[in-house]
Parts: sequence; C-alpha cells; structure tokens
Amino acid sequence: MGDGVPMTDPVERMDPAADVKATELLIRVAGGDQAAVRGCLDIFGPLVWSLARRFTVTSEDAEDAVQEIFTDVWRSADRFERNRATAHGFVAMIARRRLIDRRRKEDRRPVLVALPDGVEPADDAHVVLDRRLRAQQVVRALDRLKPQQKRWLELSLLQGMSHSEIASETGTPLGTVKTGIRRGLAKLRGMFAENDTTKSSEVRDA
Amino acid sequence: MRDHEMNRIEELLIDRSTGDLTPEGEVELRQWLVQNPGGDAEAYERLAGEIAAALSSGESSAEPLPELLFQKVLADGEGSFAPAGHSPGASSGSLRPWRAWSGWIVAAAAAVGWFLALDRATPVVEPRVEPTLAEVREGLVDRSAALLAWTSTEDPSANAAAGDVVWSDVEQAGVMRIEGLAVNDPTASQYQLWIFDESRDERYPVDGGVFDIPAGDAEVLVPIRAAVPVSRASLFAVTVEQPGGVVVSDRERIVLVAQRS
Repeated sequence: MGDGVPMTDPVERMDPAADVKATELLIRVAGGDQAAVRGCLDIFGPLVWSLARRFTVTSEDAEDAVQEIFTDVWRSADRFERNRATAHGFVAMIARRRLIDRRRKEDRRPVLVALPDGVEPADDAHVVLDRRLRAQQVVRALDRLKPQQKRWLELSLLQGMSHSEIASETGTPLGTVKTGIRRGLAKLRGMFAENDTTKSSEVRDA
Repeated sequence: MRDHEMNRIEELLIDRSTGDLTPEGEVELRQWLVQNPGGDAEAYERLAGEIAAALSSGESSAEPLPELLFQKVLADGEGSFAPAGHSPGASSGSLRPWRAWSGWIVAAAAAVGWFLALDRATPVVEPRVEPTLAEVREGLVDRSAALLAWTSTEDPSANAAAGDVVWSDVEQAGVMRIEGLAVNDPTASQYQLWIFDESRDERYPVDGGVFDIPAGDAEVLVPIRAAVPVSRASLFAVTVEQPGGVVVSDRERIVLVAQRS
C-alpha cells in the first residue's frame, strides 16, 4: 500500500447542508423508507468506495465489499445514534468493520463473534453531531499526537494497513507501532471525552 | 475493575478497532464482554470510523460509486425494503425483521458519550415495536419463503432433533426452529449454521451464524444471519464447532441438514 492520497482540508470540503441531509437520510432508512436508499448511496457511496478500494486488492473484491457494507448499513441504520456519531462516521465504522471481517476471512482466521444485544437509548436523542465540528476536532486532535503516531494512525485507519504492514512500510519495530497506535487512540479518546464533558457542561449551564 | 484488567480490555478494544485483534484476543474479549455487558464496546470502533470519515473527506480523489455498482447496490437496497402491506404487523416495513437480528450486532451501552453539538431541527424517529422471532418467521412463511424440514444425523447431540428452517432469498432473512437438539455449553462448543448457495463453490458454504441451545426450552427459534448475500440457498447444515465458530468447518460433526428440492 502506498502513501495515501493528496489531502486537502477535510473541514473546508464539507457542506453543512449535506451533513444534515446525510443524517436525515440515515434516519429515513432506519424507518424503512425505500426512497432514501438512492440518496444514501449518493452521499455515502464515495466514502464507502474509497475505504473499500484501500482495504481490498482487486476491484472485484472492492465491489463485493461495497455491496456487503451497504447491506449492513440498511440493516444497522436503526442503531445510528446521532448524539454519539456523525452519519459519515457511523457508515465508516460499519464499512471498516465489514472490511476487517473480510480480511480476517481471507486470512482464514476466526471471525469475531457478535456480542449480545445491549444498546441503550441515548440520553439526548435530539442532539445531533455536526460533521464539520467532528472533523475539525479529529484533525486538531491528530495534530496533537506525535507525527509518527499520526502517520501510523492514518495508515491504519484510512489506508487499512495492519500493524505489521505499517512496521514493514515505515521500518519501525512492530512492538513500537503497536504501542504507538494503542496509546494514540487512547489519547484521542481521552481528548474527545474531555471535550464531551466540557460541551455537556456548556449545554447544562446554558 | 482493576486497572490492569481495564488496560487489557482497552488494548483489546483498540486492537479490534484497527483490525489487529488476534484469535486469542478475540476469545478473551468476547468472554469479558459477555461477563461485563453494558460497557461501551464500540467506543474505539466509532472513533476509528470518525477518523476515517474525517480524513476521507479531505481526499481530492474521492470518487462516486461506479455506475453499474451503484445500480446494483440500489436495486439490492430498494429490494430489501418490503412493499407496504407485506410486512408482518404494522407500519415499519422490512427493517423490522432485521431488528430482530439485533442480538447479533456488536453494540453495547455506554455512560461515556462523545462531544456534542446541538441541532434540534433534525426529526426524531418514533420508537417502533419489534416483532418476535415467531412473528418474523410467520411473516416469511406468509410471503412464500422456503420452508424446509430438518433431518437429524446420528451425532449424539442430534438425537431426536427436529424442526424446520424458513429462508427467503429475496429478503435475505430466515429463522430456524429447532426442537430436541442437545443443550450446549457455550464455553466448550457452539452450533453453527452453514448455507450452501447454488452460485458458490460448495466447499465454501456461507456462514449463517453461531448459536446456542439453552436448557429448558422445548423449542428454540434462531434468526439466520448470512455473512454474505445468498443467491439461492440449496441446503442448510448445522455443525458443532469451537466457541465463536469457525471460518471453514471440517464438517466433522454435522447435526442437522435441510435440503431444498
């Protein structure tokens, strides 16, 4: 796998209206609205296609993966909680999970077994995450990591490279990559949790 | 929970989110999550999704789906939503059977959320009533899904086992009804369904999901979760496998078979 693709400012490229539309379409699909399927494909298609091409070797594999991912999206749309994830983040989560599963199957490794149902309704169902805000926070948070860590996370989460592929690609010991990625993600989660607490206080104080 | 235990689980959740969980780690994580329901098991996967989505949005080379693929996914997607009036019960359409599969979906509740942004303009979805598996099964039968009787094998677990399997290629949904299959200890072994698809090499049947037979139930209904789309299911087989199931079965212990004529 290569060095990735040319990047522009992710936040600048986002259209806030499109983000609201994405959330609404996902909610309509969750409600069984057949007419929302086309809109979802228009909006989420490029994201899913981009991830699928990175995680797979051939175009045929990528196309198969896209079909499976969208089948999962239709099935799982009713689990979308807009106060916990952006619509694009939710779809990317499903896509990555399916792509990781496919890779595991190719490796003939056991498939991760699903967990018992335990979803609880969100406290603030009316709250929706803004994708621009989220993307801004993600980019800022990544910038606060060590450059190496940021690079490894990009290779792992965007390019779909395994820890050992990253180690080989960057000439870094596997253990160092593994530890760096773990610490990086834990730190990011900590940053977001901290942010969450601040925002919640702001909402309460308002 | 002790610190070292919490750190270990966090490591496993992170490794899962990056696709680097080992088979041993999978077993360890699964056991922990079963014993500790209610944690936010998806937190790192959500985080990974948000990062991937944020970074992808900055790509200058982002392309739409190829037209043929778009049309195929569109047809599949629209086809999977049953026409109004064909769903069992009231108004919610064909997502309702899928909701019954929610036990298979990786998810857990959490106290810790994410950073929030307020937008009260987005409409709120009304809660829906979930159908029981029995209702899902009846709905599929009403809509002419295949109904096939199980044949038990000579395996000791299958003694006197019976029941049927209902499956719809159109809806990609199905329910198994099983009676008399031996109760299993999920830490020692689990049952796994395999779906043989006429369009695929018979050496590689589709994984239809892992399940257990609990003690005390005369009849057990199990939702079918095909790992990949099935064009035309020709045969269903239930095997006994290691906890968590396998990717390719050695078919050493087949307990139930149902064949389409």
